Amino acid sequence: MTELTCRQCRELAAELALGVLPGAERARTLAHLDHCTACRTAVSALTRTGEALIELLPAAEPPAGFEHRMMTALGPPPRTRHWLMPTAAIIVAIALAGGGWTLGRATLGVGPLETGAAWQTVAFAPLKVGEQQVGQVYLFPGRPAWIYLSLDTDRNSATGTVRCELVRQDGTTVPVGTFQLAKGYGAWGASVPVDRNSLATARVIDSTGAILATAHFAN
Amino acid sequence: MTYAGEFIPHRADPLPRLVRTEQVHIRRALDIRRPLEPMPDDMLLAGLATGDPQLAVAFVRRFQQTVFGVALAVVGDSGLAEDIAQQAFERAWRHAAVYDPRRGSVRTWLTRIVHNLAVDAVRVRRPAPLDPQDLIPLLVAMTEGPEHRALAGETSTELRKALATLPPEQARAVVLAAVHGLTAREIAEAESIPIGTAKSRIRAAMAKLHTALSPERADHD
Repeated sequence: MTELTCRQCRELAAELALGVLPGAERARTLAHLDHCTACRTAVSALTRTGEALIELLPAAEPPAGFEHRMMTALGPPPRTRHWLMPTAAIIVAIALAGGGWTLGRATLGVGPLETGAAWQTVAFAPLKVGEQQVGQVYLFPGRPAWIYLSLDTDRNSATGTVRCELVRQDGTTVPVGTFQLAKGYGAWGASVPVDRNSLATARVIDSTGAILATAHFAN
Repeated sequence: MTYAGEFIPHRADPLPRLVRTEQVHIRRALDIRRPLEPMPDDMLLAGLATGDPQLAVAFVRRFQQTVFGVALAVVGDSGLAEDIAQQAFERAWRHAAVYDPRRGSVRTWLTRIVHNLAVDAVRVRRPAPLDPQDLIPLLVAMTEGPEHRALAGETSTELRKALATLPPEQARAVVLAAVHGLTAREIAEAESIPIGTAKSRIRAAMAKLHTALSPERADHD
């Protein structure tokens, strides 16, 4: 197989970037890219152009009922899949690991766990009522940081507005917002002005001021 | 950017073909309203991986028009486009863990997934060669005002202008390749031109579009 020159490679770069270069030419071009950073950069730039072109395609309303069919295809909600709770943290951690975060220790236990390592990690803690786990809280690193929680108390009477409050290690509290519970179930996310290192506890509090559930983060 | 409509229930759509337990789960997911702040796309994707039904609904609602639009533009058939859109969401759900934000936005990632699926489907099923003249409505849609498109930003505006100013034969060649996944040989056959000419048109068009997106870099390429 004859080695391509950079000039020959650039002539095929657009087709390669668009994914329409046939087998033999594709193989030769990829072989050249293997050791040519400049051509690789050029192909990457053209790939981004091709992707931007696809994003110009007009949006279209899918047929009626598409959303329902999608929800069916994606499976039942967490109420019937409590096994997902600990594994979900790992899944999220892996997702974020792709963005430059590293995956550290991850334990399939019921207690709080760190789903990453070093200075930027996804923090997870189970939301509990007494010793019973009723949900989960994730703290996603970033600027700002994000919190996502869901709880499923199996208490049909628990309906209405509840609030989430974070407690720092020094005991100061940070109200971060309110959300709705419907028949004991609710999920919510928001940006939070608290970093992982200072966070100790997340609480869900009902309209009477009673603590519905608490999550303790490991430090 | 706000997504105020995402958590408004769609009560009008019946669920006739679902078993009762599924209906209960789905109605529950759709009926619960939450004062959710506009959630970034990558956060929503991460939440989707946790299996939360509300986040799944929000994710589908946020991207369904984009995903279905891409599929429809490539395959040209509403039924097949819906199948492909559904496969794309399922694939995104299964592979949320491997999404890499360094390689592009969630929208770009999802668009890439649905486009690849659609091109694969059309390569298998394409009944007859594409008539390049059939591309005119699609080219118009890709170059018209931002109110008709899912993506409206400075980048897309520049690209839209550049696409609109390409010579028609170059615009057709690049759309046949980029959108419909046709090789230079297939474009040559469709346009009744030599394969070298088809390759030149693709290359010239892509160079101009790339320059429009990043003029300062293109000078050095």
